[in-house]
Amino acid sequence: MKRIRRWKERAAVLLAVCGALLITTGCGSQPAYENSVVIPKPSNDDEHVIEDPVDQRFVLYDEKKKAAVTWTNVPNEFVYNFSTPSDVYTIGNSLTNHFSIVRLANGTVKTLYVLPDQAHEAVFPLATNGRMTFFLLVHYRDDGTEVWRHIVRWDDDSKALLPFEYVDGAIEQGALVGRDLYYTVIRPDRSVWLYRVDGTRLNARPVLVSTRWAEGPLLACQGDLLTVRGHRLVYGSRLFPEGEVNLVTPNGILVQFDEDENALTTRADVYELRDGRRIGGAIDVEGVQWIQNGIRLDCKGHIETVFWSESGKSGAIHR
Amino acid sequence: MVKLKRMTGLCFVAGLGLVAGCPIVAADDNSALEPQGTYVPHTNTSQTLTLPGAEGTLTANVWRSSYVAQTGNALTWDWQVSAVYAGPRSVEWIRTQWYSQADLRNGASISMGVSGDSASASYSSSWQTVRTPSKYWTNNNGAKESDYRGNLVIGPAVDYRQGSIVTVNTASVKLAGDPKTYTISAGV
Repeated sequence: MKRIRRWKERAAVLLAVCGALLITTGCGSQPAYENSVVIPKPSNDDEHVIEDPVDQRFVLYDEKKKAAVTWTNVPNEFVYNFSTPSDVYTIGNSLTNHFSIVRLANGTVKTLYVLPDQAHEAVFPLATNGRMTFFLLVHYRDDGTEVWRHIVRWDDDSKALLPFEYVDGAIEQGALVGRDLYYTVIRPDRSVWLYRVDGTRLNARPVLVSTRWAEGPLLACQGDLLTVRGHRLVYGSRLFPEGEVNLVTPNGILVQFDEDENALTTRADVYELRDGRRIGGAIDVEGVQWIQNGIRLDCKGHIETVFWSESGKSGAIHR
Repeated sequence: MVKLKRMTGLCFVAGLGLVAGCPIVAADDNSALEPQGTYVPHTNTSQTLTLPGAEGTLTANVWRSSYVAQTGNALTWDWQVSAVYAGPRSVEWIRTQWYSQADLRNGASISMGVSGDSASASYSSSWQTVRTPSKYWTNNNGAKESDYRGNLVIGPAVDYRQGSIVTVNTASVKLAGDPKTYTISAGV
């Protein structure tokens, strides 16, 4: 009986998701309205849009003045990022939803997808390796309480979000290891369960990996998940402090953003996970942009570029 | 500069105008702030956001002393800001973020007493609105409150347009298990 009810619930949710998606994708065009989030637009060649991962906003940075000149500043409108390098973000309003998936490329933001149910749905980055991209799709009632969460895979050909058939629960974070998508689910007793599902098959059944996964960021590096122990990230024998924002590149670089306790502004620290070496960083960070094998930290009064390579060579440029 | 920073516990007794009965956890020098229990004439405000889904409320508080102390050419105010979450959820992080602005001229400067937050008017006799860089303090230790206080200094006094000082606080919170971030601002 319980199984039948569960099956019915899954079928209802699946129908709701698919139905909602068909409204847009089936018609072959996106709704004409713009994002609710007002994204700054460059007015000259010195200005470009970057992401501020701590304030969760897009910033218009002037390379000549070396300062942020404006940013998305509508209350409760935020930008959400993946924990791996990506030019894809989601943006939306925490009170009214109106979520979209956008791409930040060459200093400007372009909308990739607008959620069909603007009032009741929100979408958040879950995991990506550049080839496969997964999001967390959340559906709300009118009063803002949650109805369900689903993991959806972005299909670039059809420009659609495709739901996994058997994945549900209070899904929180995700990380890709090869073709396996690992994700955490918060249980009613606040314990964290870790699951694994084949990311290539929407009808794959998840496998329960752990019922005692630690709270904290879910990050993967070169085939392994990092673990969290006492607010520290553990990779092999290396320990790193858990940052406010933690990102890991495919070749094993950990980028962290935190508050600088002296300047009371954002600082960035870049480490090699393999040997624990700090290879660069900056304070007064206004925003960042990923570059080929590196990251550019646009700061107040200066620009720092930290770069690395597959061979492990790394360095930093200051200007 | 007088800087006093606490992880938790700075109470805003907004309606009564008292800084009273609140444990001071750490003061790093001889604070010029009023002793506990002393009435401090001030201007303050609070703005509260009710979070969707009955998750609780987020309040931004901002407080600035009414009386400005003039020492030589410098004007000094005390200020306090806080972000307070009230509700059943665990807090992943909570942040208070602030700045002040005032109408200045002839190269006059404004600072809220935090490293690198000084801002100056240009050397012109016309009034300009000058804003300090935004600074923030985040608690990510499970606390449901984040607060900060300090002294705001403007000088020289003759190049400050009386009554133009504004202090703004933005409170933000990320709750455990909720993928969204919430924010609310208040200014005096």
